[in-house]
Amino acid sequence: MIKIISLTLILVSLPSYAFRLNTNTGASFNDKEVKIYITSNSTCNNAGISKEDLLDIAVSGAKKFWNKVPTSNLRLKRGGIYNTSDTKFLTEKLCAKDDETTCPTATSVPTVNDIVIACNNDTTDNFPSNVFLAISAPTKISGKSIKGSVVLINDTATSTFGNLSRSEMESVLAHEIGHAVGLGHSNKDEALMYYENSDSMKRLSQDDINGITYLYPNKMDGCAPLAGLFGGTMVLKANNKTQSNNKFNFPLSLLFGFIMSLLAIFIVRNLFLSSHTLLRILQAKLFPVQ
Amino acid sequence: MYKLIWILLVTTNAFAFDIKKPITLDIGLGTWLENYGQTQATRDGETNGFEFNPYLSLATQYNLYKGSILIPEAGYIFQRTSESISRNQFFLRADIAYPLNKYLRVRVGSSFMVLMTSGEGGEDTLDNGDSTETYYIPEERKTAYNQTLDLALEALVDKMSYKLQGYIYSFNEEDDRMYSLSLSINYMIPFREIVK
Repeated sequence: MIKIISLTLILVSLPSYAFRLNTNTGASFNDKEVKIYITSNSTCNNAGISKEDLLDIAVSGAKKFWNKVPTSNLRLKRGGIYNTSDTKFLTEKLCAKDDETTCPTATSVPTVNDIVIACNNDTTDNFPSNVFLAISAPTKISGKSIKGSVVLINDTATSTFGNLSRSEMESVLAHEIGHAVGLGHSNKDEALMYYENSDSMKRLSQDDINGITYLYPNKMDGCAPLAGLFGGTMVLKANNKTQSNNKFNFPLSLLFGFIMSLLAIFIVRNLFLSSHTLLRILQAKLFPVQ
Repeated sequence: MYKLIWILLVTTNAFAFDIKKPITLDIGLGTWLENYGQTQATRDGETNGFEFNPYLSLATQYNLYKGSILIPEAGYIFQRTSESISRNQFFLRADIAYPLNKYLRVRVGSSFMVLMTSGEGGEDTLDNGDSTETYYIPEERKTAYNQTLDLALEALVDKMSYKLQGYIYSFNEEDDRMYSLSLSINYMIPFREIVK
């Protein structure tokens, strides 16, 4: 057995985890349910897509990629149209603002809550070339909390965004939403967060999963493990992302609680003192033989 | 109130079994196939296949009722890491095993998975469009907890067992349901040999 274990450790594969973060504080949204909006004044003429379609694709991409990670509790949802007449969304520079950075209000895209998408035609800072299909950053950060992020779609005259297939648009928008929720680029070329888009990007890589799990780790209900150990209070709430009355929630939790309660009994009855032994010890202490 | 009722019900049911001494102590060695076939492995769209990610486990077996066996288990999954980020994963779990015949049994159970990710902090410069950008390496330890539903088929040969086990994450949520697999060899030491 020792030989096998030694061999195992020698042969162990070396998966490398390369995800990086967008902020030096490792900031993430506090609320695990984050909504995606699009500004009402986005026309996206050069990008070649309507704002309604753009929002549909963004939400679809977010669900297809980021909402499918069971070890993460982040849930991205459709917000709708973000009503604004502020043209700075369409023309100004994206400035990632945190506690240490000051953005010039007059020449920056406004700050928002949640995630807001806009079509932007700034060629000076945002889209100096058509290499950039879209950019994104948290624009409202307080300490380790992201309050809001902006995703800008390249709507300049040379934009090639509209040439992408729907599947590519989904992965491009999901990549930008990855930045919006706090992830940086990965050096793994199979990752969604790799800097280049790919028309074969169908699902997250393990590296993306590790990154989103780090920023938004799934937390089971407070004392769930202990509760389960003492008899199955897991029953009513398996984990905090399950708010629905799903019919499978109950039997699964019951099974877990049941097994854990069995475990607790084994530990008490077999691994520690049996009740008889305990009684004998107490008897010997309380009523010593004269 | 409902919680209280179920605590009583479940605990009472648990006590209904006549559980005595463990039969065996099992030492297991295997490979952990995380999210098998469900993650992007190459730029061309291929999914992840077989990888050797070793795990070690320690389990005991207890007779339950009409030949069924309860198997509590604890294990650690080796996660060799690089590039300033490390992961540690361990689990506490229990199965109820039902013998199909002398050599085969099925197991149903549940695991409590603990996954810790941490980094050493710092900065990294990576490609971004036609230039580069500074990104940040995690510097905290964060822990994710998950509960899984587990199904397994196990072949028994003398003191050894060979097990294929599936771990279903988010069993109750179709949207983010994923599964991992493990292949393991277990050496079963009769408990009477340990406590002679």
